[in-house]
Amino acid sequence: MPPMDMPPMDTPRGPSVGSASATSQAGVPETIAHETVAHLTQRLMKRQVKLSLAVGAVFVILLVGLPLLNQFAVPTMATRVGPFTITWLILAILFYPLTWALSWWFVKGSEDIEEAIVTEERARIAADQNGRPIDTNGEVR
Amino acid sequence: MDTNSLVTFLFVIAVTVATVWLGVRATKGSKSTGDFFVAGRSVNVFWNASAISGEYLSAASFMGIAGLVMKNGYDALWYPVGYAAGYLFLLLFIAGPLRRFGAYTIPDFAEGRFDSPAFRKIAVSFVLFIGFFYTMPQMKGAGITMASILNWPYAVGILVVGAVITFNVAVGGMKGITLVQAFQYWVKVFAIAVPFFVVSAMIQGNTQAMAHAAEGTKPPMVATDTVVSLKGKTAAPNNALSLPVGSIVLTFETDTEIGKVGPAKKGTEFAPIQPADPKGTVLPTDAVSFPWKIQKGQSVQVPLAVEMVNGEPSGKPVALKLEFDKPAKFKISDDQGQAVAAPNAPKDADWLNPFGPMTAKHGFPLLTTYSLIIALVCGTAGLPHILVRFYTNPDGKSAKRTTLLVMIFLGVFYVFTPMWGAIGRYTMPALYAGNVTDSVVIKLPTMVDNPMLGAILSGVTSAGAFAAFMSTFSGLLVSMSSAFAHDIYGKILRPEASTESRLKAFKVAAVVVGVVSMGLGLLVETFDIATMVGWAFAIGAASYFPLLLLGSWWKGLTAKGAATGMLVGGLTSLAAIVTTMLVDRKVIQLELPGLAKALMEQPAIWGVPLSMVLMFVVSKATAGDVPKDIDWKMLRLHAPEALGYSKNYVDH
Repeated sequence: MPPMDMPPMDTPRGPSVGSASATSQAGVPETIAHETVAHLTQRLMKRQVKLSLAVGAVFVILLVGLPLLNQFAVPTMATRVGPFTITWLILAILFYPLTWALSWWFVKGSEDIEEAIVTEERARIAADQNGRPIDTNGEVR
Repeated sequence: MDTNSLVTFLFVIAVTVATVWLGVRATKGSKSTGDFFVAGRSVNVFWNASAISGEYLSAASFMGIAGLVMKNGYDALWYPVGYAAGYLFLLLFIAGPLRRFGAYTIPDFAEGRFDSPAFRKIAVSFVLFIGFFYTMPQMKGAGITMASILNWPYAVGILVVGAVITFNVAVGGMKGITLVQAFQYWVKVFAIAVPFFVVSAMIQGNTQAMAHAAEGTKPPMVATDTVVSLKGKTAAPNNALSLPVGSIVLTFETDTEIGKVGPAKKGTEFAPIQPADPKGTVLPTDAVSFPWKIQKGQSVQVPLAVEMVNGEPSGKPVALKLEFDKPAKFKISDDQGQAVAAPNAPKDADWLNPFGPMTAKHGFPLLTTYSLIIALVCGTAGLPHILVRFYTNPDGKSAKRTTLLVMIFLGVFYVFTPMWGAIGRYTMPALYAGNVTDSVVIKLPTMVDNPMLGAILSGVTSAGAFAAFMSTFSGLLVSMSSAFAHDIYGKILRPEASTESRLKAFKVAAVVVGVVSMGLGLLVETFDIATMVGWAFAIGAASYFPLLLLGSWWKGLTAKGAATGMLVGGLTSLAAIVTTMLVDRKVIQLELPGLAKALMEQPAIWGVPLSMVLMFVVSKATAGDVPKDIDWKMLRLHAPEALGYSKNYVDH
């Protein structure tokens, strides 16, 4: 199993977060709340997509690579291993555990990322005396 | 009814009764619309993974893959790998956001992501499109299985399976079938694995298929006087008999008609050598003699043929291919009464090595392989009846864990299917001759020495096949009924409808869709199961996959962009595949270069990028249409539930 690809902890407080919290009261200008949301969303998606792309890249290399090996390394791939040839063994048997390992890597990594984000977001709200969670209607609670 | 059929029948009955009983039992708790559409969003990871796997492993997986591997060898291994590995793309990019969106159907996503009720209509039509295309092969699977094990007419198998499942879905909805599908996954794993171990242990000396193929010394042979049944012209290209080189005698047990005789390798010039002492009528090879009628009881000698180069015989023997216009049944041997190499069987090297007849037939094996991989991997992530199951998870985290478990469950199943095909190659080469390698999983167990054991094992695999059509059909039925009841009735026609009338609409829709599916199933008897499933995958890959991928990760996607990409990508892919099919069946005449044929038969390599590029370009041009609250939408798609920003798009 490859090591967990934890993205570096970026600073949880962007300027827009601060400004949103500073003016948190009834009738908050929508633009400010909107910026907070945009910032949080961007942070979330950036970390998640990084992991998805990393795992996806390994998978794509496997999918693109095997036919290329079949095309350009014919004698090697046709070497006998028990009743199989190497390439038959890879595609009929070994491919499945490989994809299991990749998806385990992703699920574990993605849960870690989400946990980290929840912790950071809670810390941000707690640290900011005016900090409040944004509710699902886009207004400050 | 003989003993074999009776035993098989009992197994099929057992799995059918268990299905109905579980469905009815699970139905007791099924009351709200949420229960009917998304099983109350309360299905845990293990059961949901079992249910998704159960729903996914269709007739094409249970019977089709073993048959394809037997017929095409290495290249066909990409099918199970693609079917299973496609879930990795789904996991990486779609499972979490889709569940967090929290809708009932995939068209809900289409509407809610873009605030566009118009887009719901396009999305809904694709659900039905893909659904019906995927239903037809399931129905065909039911029809031919019952025909081959019990000699029931094709229509009866369809009506029985269709009626049982329609009943289950109409009374229980999604909640009613979740348990059933989960149960059917375990039936299928048992039914593919246990008979495999018994059969491969008992059929001595025949399990070394790959070793034989690698040595290239022992082509699969059909025993003397093996009876072969072939379909007529309506089943083209499955009406062909590609004979091995040599002098072969066919003794007919039915009247029939041969439409054409030609070289197995297209374009070869050849001449027959008239046998000195023919065993029966000598088959003519000049075009004017065809169509050529044959009487019951007649023996026909196929003459040895040699290649002609510039009008001179080169001495190189040529294999011949017969195409039957009418159904035929005959015994086959050589002119000395000896066994012959199996007709229609690929050569050892073509079977064992990559880039055999399946991918190389138009001359672009690498391109065809890549296009197939793209179709399977992206198509899996674009099947609405599978995607909708992710809404039944309690949250995004469990949706991801479910996908991981699904991949393990599917891998455990799929690893067995190619091995069935490999054993079948040497143990039952007669299946090649009749173009019925599809039935290898059902027929192979009857080759063990003890006939009773053979009947029981064949009963087990038949029950597995039955579970496969039933679970996939029930999933499709829920997804299509939801499209009618929730999207068309509840959202488009009568948004003010009460809960009761929505539930009633679901039940009515289930019955109507069930009946239409049975009707469609009756029409496709002569179509290939794998081909029809391929259509559904190709449409899904070029329509829903790009929509969900870009819709979840790119803020800039607009409804117009997504709709253009889906429509153009999905419909051009479909047009390319249907044209190929019509040319194959000789309905239309079209001469195209090999590259064009390869790209049309397997369109994913251009269809998926085309769809994505159109989505990108048109979205850029209509950037003003991006919803104002797009950041909120994105936050809901991606935020962990613990943050408290999540909200289901549809709640009961």
